[in-house]
Amino acid sequence: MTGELRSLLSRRRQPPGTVAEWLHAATDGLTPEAARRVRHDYLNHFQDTRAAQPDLTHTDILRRWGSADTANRGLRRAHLTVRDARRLPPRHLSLSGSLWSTSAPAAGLTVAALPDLRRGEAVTPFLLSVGILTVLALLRWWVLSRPLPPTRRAAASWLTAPLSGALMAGLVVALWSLHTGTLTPDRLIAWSREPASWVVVGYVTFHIWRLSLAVNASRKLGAGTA
Amino acid sequence: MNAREQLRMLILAVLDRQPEHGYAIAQAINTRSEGLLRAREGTLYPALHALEAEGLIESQEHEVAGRTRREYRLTEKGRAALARTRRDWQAQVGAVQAVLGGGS
Repeated sequence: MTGELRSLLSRRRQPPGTVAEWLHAATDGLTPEAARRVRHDYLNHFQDTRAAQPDLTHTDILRRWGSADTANRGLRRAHLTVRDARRLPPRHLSLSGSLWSTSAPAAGLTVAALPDLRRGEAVTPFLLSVGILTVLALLRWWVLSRPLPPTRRAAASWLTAPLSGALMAGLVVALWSLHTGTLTPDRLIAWSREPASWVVVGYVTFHIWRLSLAVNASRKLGAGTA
Repeated sequence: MNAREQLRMLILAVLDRQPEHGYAIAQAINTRSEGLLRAREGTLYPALHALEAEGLIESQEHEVAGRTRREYRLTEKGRAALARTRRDWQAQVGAVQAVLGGGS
């Protein structure tokens, strides 16, 4: 009863009528390479079944195959999805591309530090932060232009990403400011109560979470290319 | 051991005898269990591909009668995993048997 109701309510729940529809649902979201592999296996299986049991209709065979949605969930665990592929580090990275990618965080840092820089303050941490970003860009290019196992490549890409560099630079500035007394623990606690700090913490958490997503995606890639 | 783990164990056990393609694996599970067990294709291939991704099995394409067939075979890592799973399964069966036997 519940199953029938679901079928009426959702088009996705309608059982596929043809092998092509079943395969379309089962490979939904997979990368073209993974989808091709899956289709090849299932079409071979279909031909074997037809050869061994010619009396079976397409509907009988599809009923035996079971839910395409269940297959899709299982296949997404084993294969790279389109979303996974977006989380992977770039395959090739040029030196100019790597340096260019740091321009946005460097510009942001400059704008943020501009009032202090005009007063002649925080010049050292600012230069240190820009230096960290530049070194990271060079390191990123050096690391990613080398052959590395996929999971190490994902971790290295994350560590040397401009945003990770900006986070480290921000940390350096915060620690420096605490050390010099420009920033006091009381001000830091007061800042942590402001909505802006929640946005920053949220974004940092999201960035850290992206590391685990990239590593998971690269594990699938590593398995697929092994 | 849930249904997914059982299917993985059955696939490894079938491939322990000889390399097979997907259809033959499904048939072997059905035949050896005298029709009691059936690997639905919707779960068979995701399980096969996951086992391959974990390095427990490997596959190779062959040209047979004008068709490209993918044959799966057990790896050394898979053989070790199967041995562990067999031990666990035997222990579970033994435990359930002990309880069932004691209830009469």
